Amino acid sequence: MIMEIAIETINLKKYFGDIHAVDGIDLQIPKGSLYGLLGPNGAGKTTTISMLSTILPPTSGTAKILGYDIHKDAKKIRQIIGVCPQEIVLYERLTARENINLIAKMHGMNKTEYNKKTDELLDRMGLLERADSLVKTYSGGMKRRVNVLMAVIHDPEIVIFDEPTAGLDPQSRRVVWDFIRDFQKRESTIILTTHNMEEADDLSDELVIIDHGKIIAQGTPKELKGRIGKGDVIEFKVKDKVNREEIIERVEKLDFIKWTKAVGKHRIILNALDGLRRINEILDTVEVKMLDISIRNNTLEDVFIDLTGRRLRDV
Amino acid sequence: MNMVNRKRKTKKKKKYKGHILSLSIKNIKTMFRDRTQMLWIIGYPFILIVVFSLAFGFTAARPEYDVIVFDEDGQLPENDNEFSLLLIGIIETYLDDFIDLNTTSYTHEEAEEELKFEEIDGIIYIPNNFTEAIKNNYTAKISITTIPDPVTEGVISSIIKQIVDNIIIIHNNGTPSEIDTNRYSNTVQLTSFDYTAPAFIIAGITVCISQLALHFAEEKETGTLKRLNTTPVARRNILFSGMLSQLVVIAVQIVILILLLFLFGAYFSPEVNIFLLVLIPMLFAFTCLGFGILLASLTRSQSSAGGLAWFIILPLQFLGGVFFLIDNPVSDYIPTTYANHAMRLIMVSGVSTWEALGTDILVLLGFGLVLTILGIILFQRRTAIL
Ligand SMILES: Nc1ncnc2c1ncn2[C@@H]1O[C@H](COP(=O)(O)OP(=O)(O)OP(=O)(O)O)[C@@H](O)[C@H]1O
Ligand SMILES: [Mg+2]
Repeated sequence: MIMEIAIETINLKKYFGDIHAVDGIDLQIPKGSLYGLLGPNGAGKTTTISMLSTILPPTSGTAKILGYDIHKDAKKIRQIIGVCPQEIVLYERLTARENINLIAKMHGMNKTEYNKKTDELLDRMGLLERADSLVKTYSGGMKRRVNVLMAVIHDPEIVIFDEPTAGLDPQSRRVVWDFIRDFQKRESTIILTTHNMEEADDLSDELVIIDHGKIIAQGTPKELKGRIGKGDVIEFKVKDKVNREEIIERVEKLDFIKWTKAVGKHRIILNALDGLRRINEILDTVEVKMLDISIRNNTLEDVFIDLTGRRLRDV
Repeated sequence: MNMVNRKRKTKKKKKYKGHILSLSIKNIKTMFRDRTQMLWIIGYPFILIVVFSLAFGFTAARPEYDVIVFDEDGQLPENDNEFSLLLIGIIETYLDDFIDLNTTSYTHEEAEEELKFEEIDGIIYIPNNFTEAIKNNYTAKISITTIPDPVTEGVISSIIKQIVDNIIIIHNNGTPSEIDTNRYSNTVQLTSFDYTAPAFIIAGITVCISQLALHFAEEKETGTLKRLNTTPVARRNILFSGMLSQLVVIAVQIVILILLLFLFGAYFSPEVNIFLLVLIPMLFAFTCLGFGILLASLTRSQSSAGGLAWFIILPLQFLGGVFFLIDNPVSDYIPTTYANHAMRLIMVSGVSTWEALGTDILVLLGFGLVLTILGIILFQRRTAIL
């Protein structure tokens, strides 16, 4: 099967003085896919998508969106993309409806085209009732939903969501996730940046993990998680005084332990085949008191920890 | 118990002082790290002094009046014209940079035209019996017509009277002179307020520079400009929309300004052309919006746009003859000068001919176009640095 490429970046770089925000990124994003960019704070996600949305010129390298070059065909690209910025960017003294309609008009839609559509979108996000009050009277979560809708009112072929659920409560987050999933069914290509591994795992068909402006891993969520073993992940805290290195040394001698990592000041994460059943053996080996124990399946976070020794977000 | 309480109280007080200091340090730090604020703190005294030196200093706080003289007395044969020549001689010798006499051959009609268009400040007629009157000790008369500004009228007539009276005293200690003064369109007695009123409208409009720049700064600060830039709308059109909406606001402001001036009793000539009375301020607003775009292209925050706007507004107001009818070395290069000139003619003198207003209209249009084009180019290049 020949996969059509919707977005391609070639050695894309952006330097801000000494800061290499994006340091040579090569992406090939298949048409119709939901593609995740996962990475910690300052990884270069926003910078990358700013370049893709033609509002930030790259230091070097280039990118093509549906065959259009970001340098030469910026105008054309702006017709086919929808961008949801990381910050909430709205006209506070307009209503939700007016905000969304404005973007529709910028895309050359006429009243009959956007009127119905706006209503439908507002309804899907549960905002219809408040659609005609000024945005400045909205709660943070409501604003964020309007922020998302403004990116999709014109049915763009490419949609770029920059951390669309940042700062949302779990319930609102679900609403937005469902919305994005629905949207993908229309054969749009979607880029989603996030530092939320659950979001990346749940939503993306394929993803890249970015750190310090570079791609450090790439694949489907399943592939990436598979890469660090099939076992369970066991995470726990130990007390200040104990020697973490010693514990890790001891645990690593167990044959069913695939890998171990010291994280933060007091945490140890280990990957164990059949870990749930053999937890007693681990407890015996650790010897000291284990606090905050959790056992779970591999997550993308573990992939990131495995690659960098750091968490995506410091807890 | 008591002691513990007291201890706590004193402790709290100490902390409170610490707060003020920490907050003050924070304030000063943020102030000094804000480039625009620094520019403002240092630049403001600078611009203020430059503007006021230009407005007053260079002419030693004295305006220069352009005056045409018709000396009929001087045409007479020698010995019958000595005093008018003396009068002119004194002015030309000692008051040269105060009253600029023009004795070349204007016809009366031409001179009156010049006065009507405010190209000159006054006309002095010396009648042919001037020398004779002084010699024979009857009242010497001179008639003076000035622009409608009462200050100009007062200054020119009192100076001429003083010189003539001195001549009379020195010659024969005779009868003091009589100066017959007129102001152009003197059917009503105009006050300084009447003459400054048209310029108030112009002064009021200059504020739109800051309004426009603030508008774009807000779009930049909140990110909406970036958001718009991810849609197909051309940056140029975003600019035009900003100008257009400002022009609508200004149109309303102009009407309010005119109505208020009317209510407060400012003089409107019976022949005032209402269309021009609104058109000239609108044209001037266009010029100002040009400055506004230029400013918007250089600033990225509201605080910087709001502050820096005064670097443009102050010179426009003070060097273009809004508040003071004073010549300064740069007034010819300040668009306000032309707007004020046109407004005074329209409102006070009831003039509405192209001859009188054409230059002003063209200059304002030119300023506006050049500034707007320059602003658009800079805005599209994203040159915001402040
Ligand atoms: N305008 C700028 N000037 C200087 N440095 C910048 C600028 N924009 C971004 N950076 C730097 O580039 C790096 C990448 O920033 P970017 O916003 O792309 O990160 P991100 O992956 O989106 O992070 P987050 O998850 O926090 O949104 C950071 O180190 C940031 O400080
Ligand atoms: Mg970001």
